[in-house]
Amino acid sequence: MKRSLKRLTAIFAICLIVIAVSLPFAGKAYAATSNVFDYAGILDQYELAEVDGYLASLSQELQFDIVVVTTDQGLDSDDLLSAAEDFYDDNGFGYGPNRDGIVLAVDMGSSQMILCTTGYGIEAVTDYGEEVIYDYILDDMSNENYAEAFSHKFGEIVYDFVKLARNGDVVDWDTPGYPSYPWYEGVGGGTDPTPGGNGGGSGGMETGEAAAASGAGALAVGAAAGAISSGRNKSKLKTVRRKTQADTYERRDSLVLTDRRERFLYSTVTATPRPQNNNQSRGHGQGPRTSGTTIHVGHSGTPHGGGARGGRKF
Amino acid sequence: MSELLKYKCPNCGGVLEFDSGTQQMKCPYCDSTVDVQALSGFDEELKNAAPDDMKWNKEAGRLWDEEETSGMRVYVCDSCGGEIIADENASAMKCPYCDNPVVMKGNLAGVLKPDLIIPFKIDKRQAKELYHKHLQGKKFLPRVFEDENHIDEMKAVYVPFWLFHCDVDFDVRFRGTRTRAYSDARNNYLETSYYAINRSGTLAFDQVPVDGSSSIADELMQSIEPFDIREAKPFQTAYLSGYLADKYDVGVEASVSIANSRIKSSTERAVSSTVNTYDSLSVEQSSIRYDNGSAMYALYPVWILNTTYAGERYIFALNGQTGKTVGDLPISKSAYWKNFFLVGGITAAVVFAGAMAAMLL
Repeated sequence: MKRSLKRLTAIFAICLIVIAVSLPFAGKAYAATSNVFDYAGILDQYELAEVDGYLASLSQELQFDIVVVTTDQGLDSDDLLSAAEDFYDDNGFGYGPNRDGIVLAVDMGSSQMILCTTGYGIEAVTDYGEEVIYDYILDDMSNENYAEAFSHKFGEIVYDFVKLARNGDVVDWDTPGYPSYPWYEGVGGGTDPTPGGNGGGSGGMETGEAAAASGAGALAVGAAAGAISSGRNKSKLKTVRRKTQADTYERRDSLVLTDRRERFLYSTVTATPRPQNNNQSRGHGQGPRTSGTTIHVGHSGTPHGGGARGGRKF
Repeated sequence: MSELLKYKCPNCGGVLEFDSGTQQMKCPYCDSTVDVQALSGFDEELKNAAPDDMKWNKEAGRLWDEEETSGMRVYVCDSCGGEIIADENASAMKCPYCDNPVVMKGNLAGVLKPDLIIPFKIDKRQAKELYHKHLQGKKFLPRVFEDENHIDEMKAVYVPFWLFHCDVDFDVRFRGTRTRAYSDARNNYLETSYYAINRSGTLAFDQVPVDGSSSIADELMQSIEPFDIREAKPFQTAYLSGYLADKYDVGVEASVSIANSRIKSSTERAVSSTVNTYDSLSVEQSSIRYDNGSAMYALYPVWILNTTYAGERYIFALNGQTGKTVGDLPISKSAYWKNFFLVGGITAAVVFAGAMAAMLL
């Protein structure tokens, strides 16, 4: 039994390797080979492998790079956005001629995160969509569940946004179900958030290309499934955790409010031109806007979205 | 000489200007519109914000009576510095934390007597069973790990804890937002309104524990919480018979910061549950003041198992009252990658075969 299990494992490992080397990773514009760069050291090696594998599989399936980079330099939001743009541009991320993708930059020194989008990412993740992403991952970031925040939260919400956008339903302030996520059920004709799901068409492909795409997709789904399964089993080995709360020791019914006041302070209004048929719009304020996304140009001359409201503290 | 009064924008910190058109303060830098009355009240609050006042009456523990300490001795571990209290007849003891021999240091002197003790409810047989249960279902645990454990050397130790109780007076100010979307023929608009939300009141905490031993990791002791303090007894030396007791070497003074941090964090969380009509909420400022903050010294029952595997030390702790067992375990890298390739390979093959079949049909 033990020997046959070993043999089975070896066969499947060989299968994976054969599929990997025989299929071209068509479409990726440049040469970046990882999707997670943990310079702040907040993920252990297994979490890193798990998150990287998962984001790589989503990116491969979407043909849209989903990247996470961490640092501990204590940058302010402008510098962090600028660093994220340079990181994306200089390291060859992105799929296709427009280098489609998104990077989540996390600075542990200043406890803030910021998103930077490129190519199709500018269209798929609007200023409003950016805020929804921050809201969705904030709890896990605050509670130091970084692996969960990066993979199953950040990866999956971007996956949904891109799929919805490709179906013509860009997530913006007027998305049905506003403001809480997830609301993708019933939106855009039903997208499937599962990697390998039935979200996008590939009409017009030749049989060889379709087989190659299926093989690449299968490989990505397999890597994601393997990473998730191994990650879950690994997490069972850790049971020692620091407690930061004393909720258990609160005296029952002892919370008494003596004063409660709520006062309006100020308001801000963000205006974004409604999408035109030719998908062009005139910008104002911080820069030209398209489909509700603030655009800025990086040092390399590549246009980027993201960072419209200075990222988010966690 | 007249003094120019300046108000700062609560959004970006820029100096606000009065807009005669809207009769409101306006920020020339971020375009925020600020209500004059609200700004005045907010400014007053910022000036009057009280600092934390987290003072404790730290007179925990009592002095020993002479006859109580006559049969007790202090043993010290030369390796980790841990100090253990046991009766004078204990022999050939090993340190429960690092498994090195301990030597008698002398009589029990200059040490406070505990106020409370929670007696052991879990015996050694039960502790072993619970430890085995802790190892079960761990697919990536190296197979030989359990074989190499010296489970018979599991030790029952009374660990010193400082227990903090207090009535908290709090003032917490949150920043909340509400968003509203609307549009005209040319633009979509997202209006975000910012609010200052104040809550004041009282909350009480009982027996927040902080371990008083530097020989054992705080995280390990926090992970076996909670202990049921209702079963605590007034301390008597008789409870120590047959058990080891760790002599505290982190005093109550040095332990308050951990208790303060946990109490402050829980107070903010509890108060935030009374605010619930905002799209986002964050704590902007909080002031915590203690009334009747006092500490007690208690001994809690813990089973400790120390073991070494592949050159690394692993320490397990088991709550001697509830049986809760914790301790990080080593990982078999080969099992990790075997599972990765097995699950990944099968999934990839099934997906690939399915896709091929669909194409051929």
